[in-house]
Amino acid sequence: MDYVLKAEALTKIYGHHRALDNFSMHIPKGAIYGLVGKNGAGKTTLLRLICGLQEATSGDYTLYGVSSRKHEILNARKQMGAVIETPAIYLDMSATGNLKEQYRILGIRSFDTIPQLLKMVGLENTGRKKAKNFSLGMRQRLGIAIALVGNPQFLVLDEPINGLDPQGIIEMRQLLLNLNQQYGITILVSSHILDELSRLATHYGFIDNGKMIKEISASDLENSFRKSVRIEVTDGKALAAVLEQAGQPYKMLSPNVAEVYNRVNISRLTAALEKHQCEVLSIQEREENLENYYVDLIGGISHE
Amino acid sequence: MSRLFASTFFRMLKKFVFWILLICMFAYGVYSASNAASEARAGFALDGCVFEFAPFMGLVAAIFISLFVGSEYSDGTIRNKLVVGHSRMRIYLANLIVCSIACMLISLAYVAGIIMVGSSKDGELLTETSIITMCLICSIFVSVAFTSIMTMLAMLNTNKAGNVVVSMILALVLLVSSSYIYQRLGEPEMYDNYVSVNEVGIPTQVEQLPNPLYIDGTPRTVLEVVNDLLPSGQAMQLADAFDASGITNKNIENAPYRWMGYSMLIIVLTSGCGIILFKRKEIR
Repeated sequence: MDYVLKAEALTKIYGHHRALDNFSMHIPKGAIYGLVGKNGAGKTTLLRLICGLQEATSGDYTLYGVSSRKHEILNARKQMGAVIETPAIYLDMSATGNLKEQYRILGIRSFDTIPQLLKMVGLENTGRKKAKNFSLGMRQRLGIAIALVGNPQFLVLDEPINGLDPQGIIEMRQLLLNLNQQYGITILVSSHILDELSRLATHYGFIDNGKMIKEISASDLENSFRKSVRIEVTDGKALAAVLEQAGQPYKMLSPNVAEVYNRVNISRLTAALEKHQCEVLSIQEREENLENYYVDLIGGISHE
Repeated sequence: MSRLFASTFFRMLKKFVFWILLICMFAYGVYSASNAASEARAGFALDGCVFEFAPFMGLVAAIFISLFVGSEYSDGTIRNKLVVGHSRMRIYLANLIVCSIACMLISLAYVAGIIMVGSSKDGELLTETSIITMCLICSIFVSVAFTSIMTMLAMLNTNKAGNVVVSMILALVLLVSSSYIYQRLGEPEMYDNYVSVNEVGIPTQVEQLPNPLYIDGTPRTVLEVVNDLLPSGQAMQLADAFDASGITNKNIENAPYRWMGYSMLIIVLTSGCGIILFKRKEIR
């Protein structure tokens, strides 16, 4: 498999604090890689290292196969764009002015594609309005537009939907999906909003205390989600007895509610319960989601 | 490098503070020359006011550079350059070169003000043009030396507001200390002590006594080197070397070469240290 970014045993120490501790990571080409972790887990530190803002204390990462220890990494970085923490924009310039600056930084002489880029992020009507008068969401979009200058093949986004309104979140999601699917851009995105991330990511990396806890593809993750049926009855003891007899894995959530972690034949179950004069009040099919998975994974690690 | 230079240069041209300082310096040049013209009846010497701008260049550089380079950190835009693979040395040098050009243009705006008033009111230079030209080149080096110091501070301090204060304090400290050193070095070795005067107050007997404020020996040599080394010291000497009657300090004819060497030393040292430390700097 082709990897855009591979990190091995990456360690970053600030004073006595290990922000990254023997961290490893593998981002396949063409992926939308969701980096999930709580505050202070080391997400932003990792992104700073990848973007060349800081040096790792030890360990190495490769970008397009080029080691971070080599001078050629500067050339490899020409294929990437990033928005780390706050959008990096000149507040005393308009959206167009900011983009022109980035065009010059990259040595692109023609500004012809600026209107297209502004339209792509929904800032085509900002005119000469200065960035300092933009809302947080508009600044975020401009930051992404700047990161997209020069058609990068790898985009690094730190909390890209922070500050966006619901419509903005939907547009941002569509933009990222479009960039990934239409232009084949590999995206590394860190986010706290797991529900939103689950609609985007093709791969996940779970980070905690500076360590990579687990890397998993979205399809493997989906397959690993446990499906369950939640059943509410009038007599919990009868339900427990029937489930025991049927050899079903279950858990009593309350005296009259049980969660069954297997396929349940509803007709047989209701027939068996009727013999105990127990009525079924409700049945719900449930599936684990990213949030449950994250809580189980990180919660499990922290309580070990 | 040329891409970074182009981007930084265009940004400088759009910076409000650059144009304000440029206009202020031009206005100051016009004011200085007009002042000199108003004191003379017909034709006047421009020599005395040509280098009056030099001592202020430290403050000008402090204000401009701390705001211009500081916004790279306050707006976070320095990250855009690093992310796309520009080396830290090139980023530093692009800022240094553009800030140097900005400070040179601001210096020349003052000279342009002098020339404008001088040519319209029959002003003339009494000092040889070659000396004035050398001193002018020297004053440009002084501006670049100030720029180099202030760029180092701005590139290493991520707090824009804090850096504005630190840079201005440093510029003032340099100015005041150089002024003090220059004043002490200018003390005469002996002074006149009036032993007796006649009935109308005219001294009849005067004796020469050693001046206790005169600095002699090694301390004098050290202070002279410091005065020549610091850009503020060179600026003070340049501003004081000419008056309405032309050149007042003949020693200055040979000084520009030495001063340019000292300025180059300051530029190389501060930029070298700045680049080394900037390469190690952790950017957020």
